[in-house]
Amino acid sequence: MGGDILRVGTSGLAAFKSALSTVGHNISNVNTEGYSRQRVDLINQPGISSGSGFVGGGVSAVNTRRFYEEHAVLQVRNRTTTVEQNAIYYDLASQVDNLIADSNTGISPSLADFFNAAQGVADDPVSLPARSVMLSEANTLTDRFHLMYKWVDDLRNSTNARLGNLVTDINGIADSIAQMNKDIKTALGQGGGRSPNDLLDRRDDLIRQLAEKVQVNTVDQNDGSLNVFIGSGQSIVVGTQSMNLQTRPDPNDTNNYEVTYVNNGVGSIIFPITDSLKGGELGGALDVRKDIIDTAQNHLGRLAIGLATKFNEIHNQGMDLNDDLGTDFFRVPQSEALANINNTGTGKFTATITDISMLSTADYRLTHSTATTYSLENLETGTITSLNIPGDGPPFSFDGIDVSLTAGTVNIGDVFQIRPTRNGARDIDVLIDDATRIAAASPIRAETKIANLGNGKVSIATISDITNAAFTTTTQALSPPVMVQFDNTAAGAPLTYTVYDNTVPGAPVSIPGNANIAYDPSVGADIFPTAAGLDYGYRVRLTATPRPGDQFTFGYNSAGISDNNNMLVLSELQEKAVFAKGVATFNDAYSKFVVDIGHKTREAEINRDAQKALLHQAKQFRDTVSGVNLDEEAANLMRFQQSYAAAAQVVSASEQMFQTLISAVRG
Amino acid sequence: MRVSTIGMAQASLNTMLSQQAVLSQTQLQIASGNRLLAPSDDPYGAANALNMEEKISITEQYEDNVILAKNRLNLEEGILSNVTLIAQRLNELTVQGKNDTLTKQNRQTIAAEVNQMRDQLLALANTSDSNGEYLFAGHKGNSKPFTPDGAGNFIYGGDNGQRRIRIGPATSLPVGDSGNAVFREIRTGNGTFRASENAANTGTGVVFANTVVGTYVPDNYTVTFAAPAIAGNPPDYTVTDSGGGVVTAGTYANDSAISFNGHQLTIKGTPQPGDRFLAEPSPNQDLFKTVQDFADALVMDTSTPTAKAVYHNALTRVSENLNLAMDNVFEKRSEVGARLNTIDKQEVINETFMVQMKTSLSSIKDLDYAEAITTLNLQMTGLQAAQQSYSKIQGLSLFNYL
Repeated sequence: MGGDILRVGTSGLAAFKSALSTVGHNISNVNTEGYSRQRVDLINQPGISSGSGFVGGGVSAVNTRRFYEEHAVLQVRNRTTTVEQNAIYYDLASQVDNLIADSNTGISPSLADFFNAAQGVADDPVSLPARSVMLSEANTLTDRFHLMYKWVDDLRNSTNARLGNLVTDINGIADSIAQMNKDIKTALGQGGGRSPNDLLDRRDDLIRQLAEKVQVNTVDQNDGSLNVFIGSGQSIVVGTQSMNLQTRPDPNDTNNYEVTYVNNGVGSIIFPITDSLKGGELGGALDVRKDIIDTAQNHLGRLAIGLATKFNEIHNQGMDLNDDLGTDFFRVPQSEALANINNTGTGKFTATITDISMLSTADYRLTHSTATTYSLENLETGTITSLNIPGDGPPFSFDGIDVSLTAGTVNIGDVFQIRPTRNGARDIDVLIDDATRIAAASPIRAETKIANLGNGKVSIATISDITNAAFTTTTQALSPPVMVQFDNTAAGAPLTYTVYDNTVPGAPVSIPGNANIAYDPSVGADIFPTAAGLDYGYRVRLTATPRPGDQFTFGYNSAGISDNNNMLVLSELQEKAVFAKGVATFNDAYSKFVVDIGHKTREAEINRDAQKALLHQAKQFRDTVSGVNLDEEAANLMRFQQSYAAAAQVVSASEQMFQTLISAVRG
Repeated sequence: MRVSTIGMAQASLNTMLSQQAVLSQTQLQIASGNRLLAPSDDPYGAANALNMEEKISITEQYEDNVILAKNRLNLEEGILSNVTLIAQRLNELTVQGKNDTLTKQNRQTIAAEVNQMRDQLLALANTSDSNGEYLFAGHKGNSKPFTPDGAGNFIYGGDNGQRRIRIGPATSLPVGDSGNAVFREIRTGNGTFRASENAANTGTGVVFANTVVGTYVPDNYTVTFAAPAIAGNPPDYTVTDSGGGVVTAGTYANDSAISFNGHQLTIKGTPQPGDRFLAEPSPNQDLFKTVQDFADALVMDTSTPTAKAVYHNALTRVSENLNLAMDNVFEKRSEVGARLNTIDKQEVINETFMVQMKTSLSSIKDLDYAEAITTLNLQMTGLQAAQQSYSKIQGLSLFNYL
């Protein structure tokens, strides 16, 4: 009987001691991230039948329960992934965002200064200082392009490094989770099926850390271990085994890193899993690389290539202070067509830009898919087009680019990455360093002879084809210089003119097939190309009423240093819609780029903040279930202390009862 | 609802952190004066700002261009006004020269002044600007416009070029005129045709090219005088065209009009049979040659009536040509004046546009200080409240009472 009381009392002591330790454990772990509070489950012991009924057997602490809400933990994990993804996106994107509209680093103000300097030369083409300013502004502009390119490129390099670090971290966590799985299995076995609460908490926290890096899914196994999948289903922990990842240069584009499994030496092909890795810091970094870094360099490149190409076109049609025809003002950057390093064929493609107005900012992937087709993927929009051989090429033409096979043979399966504008901002340069070689003048002098009796006027000549033999045969001269003379028709008869080769000014030679061409004063005439097809690469218009015998000459603009016609056209390029099929000027294209980046940055910022709020809510919800409340624990502490004291009293009472019995028997 | 200890602390902490973040943003705005700290704050606003900044930059360049254009045009205007003064003086001298009471000495004095003025005109036409660029050489800025060849002619070293300068969006205008336009594209006679006497004339006829009446038929016409049918009468004349066909004929009457094919000539004096006068479409003649002709005429011999007639014919030609030259310079001056007017109007347009653009830009980029400072105060109060309540609540714990 006494023994029963003793047993009941000590059962209370043991149970309350357990409860107190658990309360102490909770209090000690009040600040532990991911800790779920624990409570001891107390059940009463069944009683033993006796004459006075069933007498209870005390209490027993059967289990230490973990307060844990699976749903809450999942919510916290998923929202953590999204927050980290948007946070890293915003951090990296805002670096580019800040750069592009700053007036000290942005392209827009420098572009405006350059064209203003061009107007300065148009105002005063003879002035060498004005020309020097234009050259210096051109150099400032190309320097800005270089600077921006380098900034973004540095960002690319640091993002690649970040990928490497993230993959190392992920590997570390995967290894730890695999170890945890092992420990939990062991603990389950040792504990006879009771859950090893603290190990579970630790494993959950590891998974949460993993969720910061990349999107995570888990599947419970029956033996207590957890299989972990990242991205869209790539497993990194199976039972007690972990699979490690690595980074390596992308075979399509060796400037970027891709993520693959570590080849564990079984001899199988390594598949890149980069595209299926979403969410978390890793997913965010990969998104930034595509959305911001690649986009930024392509936009800047297109702007640089457009400027260089269009400016050169006009500059080459002019004449400089030395009476020479203009040469390229800017170096036009080249496009790239890279062969995948795993290609089996020897084919080499070259990409050339043929039409700036059709040029996009996308990269393309060209695959020799079957014997009769190539497949072309626009990497910005995702559209895939099938190209037939030889109907569509090679050479292929699309979006203002020509891609031609220049060497070797292409095997089926070979892949090529085409990057028309990627390096534009890096490679643009000013080729002219001598201010006298800025071609401000027109190369043609169109003159109305002073001895003319009529009032016919000839317009300023515009160049239609500077490669025409008339310009290229001899330097600083037209081959031939031309004279148009009105024939000696009778008074009242319709006017006609003849085109002469004026190489020897005193002895013009009529050009066969171009004599007695009719002229209507009410309409005027575009002299070239003549009805017989004579074309010297320029266009000129005759108006009003000449008289028979009147002469008009077209020759090289020798000593025409005060002529600013070409510089006027060059300065007007600023407001010409050069891009997007004739809709966007240089500044428009740059503004669109700023909006694009600004938009994406803003979206990431808004999403991050929204998701952070949701994450806080999720954490609150989890804490409602699993969090430790010190006041509650303090109350429990008091309660179980008292209970312990009371149980101790029961033991003491049992001892007193025994003493009483012993004294009674001793007599 | 149950709250955990770290949950409570974390919630308060998060609130404080986010309040600090917006406070810091507002403070940055106030310190920099910019509403937009980065394009992502307002992407479309940032793009609009870029466009406006470009337009402002271009308009500032137009303002610079306008100053240059005005300088150049004012320089040209100054020269043309001096040319006009000289031409007017020369005109006075031709009137003097026609006075038959002048002695040879008088005429030599006038000739000396005429020579001086010819040189002045040459100097004006050869003016160069501060860069050393000749104003009236067209596009050949380093080539001297007018050089006398020693034989009474003046060689033009420039071309027809005319420089245009942009003064506004889609607006450009010429800021100069070539030497050809000002000094050489000057018709002679009456602007349409000119009449002159044949050098072998023996009579004293002086011809004036009066006007165009009716339909002008351009051709080279010759008025030939022949002996009258009745002796003692004035001679008869025949007008033939370049093909030799007779256009009209008649009897000469002193100082009355001879009309044919749109031409109306007047011959004064006494032509002799065999004398011929020519009417041809007016070629161009430069101002300096006209002045040279004047100087050459003044030193002619005028002892015989025939020689006097030659002198008067020469002076008549000089008067005609000088008038047309003055008309041309006047026309060019009007054009320069009109251009200066256009520039003035464009300056106002440019300025108005600038103000509009700058206002729009400011509304996008610049901070409204009143609003921002109010917001700052509110946020500061909010942050203070959060901080104070945090420190108060953290102190509450059951453990304090155990």
